[in-house]
Amino acid sequence: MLGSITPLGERGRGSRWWVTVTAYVLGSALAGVAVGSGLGSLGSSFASRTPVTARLVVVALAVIAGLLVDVGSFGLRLPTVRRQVDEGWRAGYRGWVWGFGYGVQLGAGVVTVVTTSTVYVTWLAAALSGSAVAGALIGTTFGFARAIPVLSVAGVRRPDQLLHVDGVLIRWAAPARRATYGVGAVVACLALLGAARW
Amino acid sequence: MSPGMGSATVDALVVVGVALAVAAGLRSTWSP
Repeated sequence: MLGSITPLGERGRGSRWWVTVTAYVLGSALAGVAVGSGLGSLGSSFASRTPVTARLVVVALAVIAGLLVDVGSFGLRLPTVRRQVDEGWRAGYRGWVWGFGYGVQLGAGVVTVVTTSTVYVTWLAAALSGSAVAGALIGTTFGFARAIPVLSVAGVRRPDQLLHVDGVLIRWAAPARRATYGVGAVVACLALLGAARW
Repeated sequence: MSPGMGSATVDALVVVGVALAVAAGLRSTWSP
């Protein structure tokens, strides 16, 4: 995805990169807010009747179960839609239009291919947070975290620089995957510790 | 439950949720 929104590519399409990127980040953040606040609202009734200890334990167990699925335990595979963003949009629409559209889809987290269970558990945490505001905060964080890495390609103005970015992404894919596992394990421990405190 | 318990409850879940959101968002950089 990062290689799709570069100054090099936008120049070739006659668009301004910063406009496309601004729309992309905005779309992703707004989608995160919408999904997070919606889930927070939907879960508020359940959350109000469920002790925080139980909700923290549920999130911790979901993180652990998700990690087991992510590493392929028991032959399990992460359920996901197979859909991707429509590449044709980049040729058919203005930069800010497809940028916003891509942002909305990716910021929602689950309408394109999901590569990590932490996406699902994030939305579970939003639902269990107990309010639209708390859910929106979680969702906004996801939306920004999903979109902000695009700024790392701000300096790509030549094809060889794009190839370099692709190479970096490939090299960092495995470490990023392991880092996600680590964060998940830490979060699960923190959630269980938090539950124990109450 | 003490008066402060409600906000602390939300805080704990929000902290966990935000941490997950950061990890999930950044990790998703490697998806289409």
